[in-house]
Amino acid sequence: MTKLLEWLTVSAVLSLIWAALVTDSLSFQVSDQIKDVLMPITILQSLTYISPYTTINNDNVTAANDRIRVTAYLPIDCLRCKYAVDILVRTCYSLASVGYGVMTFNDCIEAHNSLKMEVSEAIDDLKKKGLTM
Amino acid sequence: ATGVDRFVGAGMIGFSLIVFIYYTLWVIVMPFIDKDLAIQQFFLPRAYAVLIPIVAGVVLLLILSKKASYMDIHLS
Repeated sequence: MTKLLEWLTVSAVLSLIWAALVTDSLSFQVSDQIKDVLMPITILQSLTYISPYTTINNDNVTAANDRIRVTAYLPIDCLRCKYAVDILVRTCYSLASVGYGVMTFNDCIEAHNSLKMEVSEAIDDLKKKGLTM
Repeated sequence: ATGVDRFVGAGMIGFSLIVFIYYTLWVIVMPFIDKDLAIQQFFLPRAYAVLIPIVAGVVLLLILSKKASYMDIHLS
């Protein structure tokens, strides 16, 4: 199996599991908080009163509420949430790797100092021979 | 890597660590914490967990495209 096929299979399996959990397709109840972590919420949904997250007591979440919640998930909003997380994680990793590279950069101070001395020696030598810099 | 370089590098690593840990707590841990605990006031509503990275990404793209268009004008 090629690497591309490997990646596609794994991502397809994970996406299927995610979609099954998010759309309540399995026979067990997925709690509100776990769905919140899976991040399928739309930005608008979290701001409106329809969302069950804003109900006062979660024991009275009825089947009607569940249906409202499921139909409000749009694929583009799920992708938006996942892209935001992806962007932020990759940015953090890039910043940290750049910082680590800056910290562990091999400065070679002795070579730098000896080079400076050699440059000044060369300038003096050339001055003696008549070339001014 | 001496002096200011080490400090800047450590600052970058520390900043990205803080941002990553805060974001992880925000997205993964906050839903499981009761609404009336005091710790909730340190975290914005979770809609911003999506908005802020996307807005930052858009601003970054705008800046980069502005710089790229600058270079084209210079070359011609």
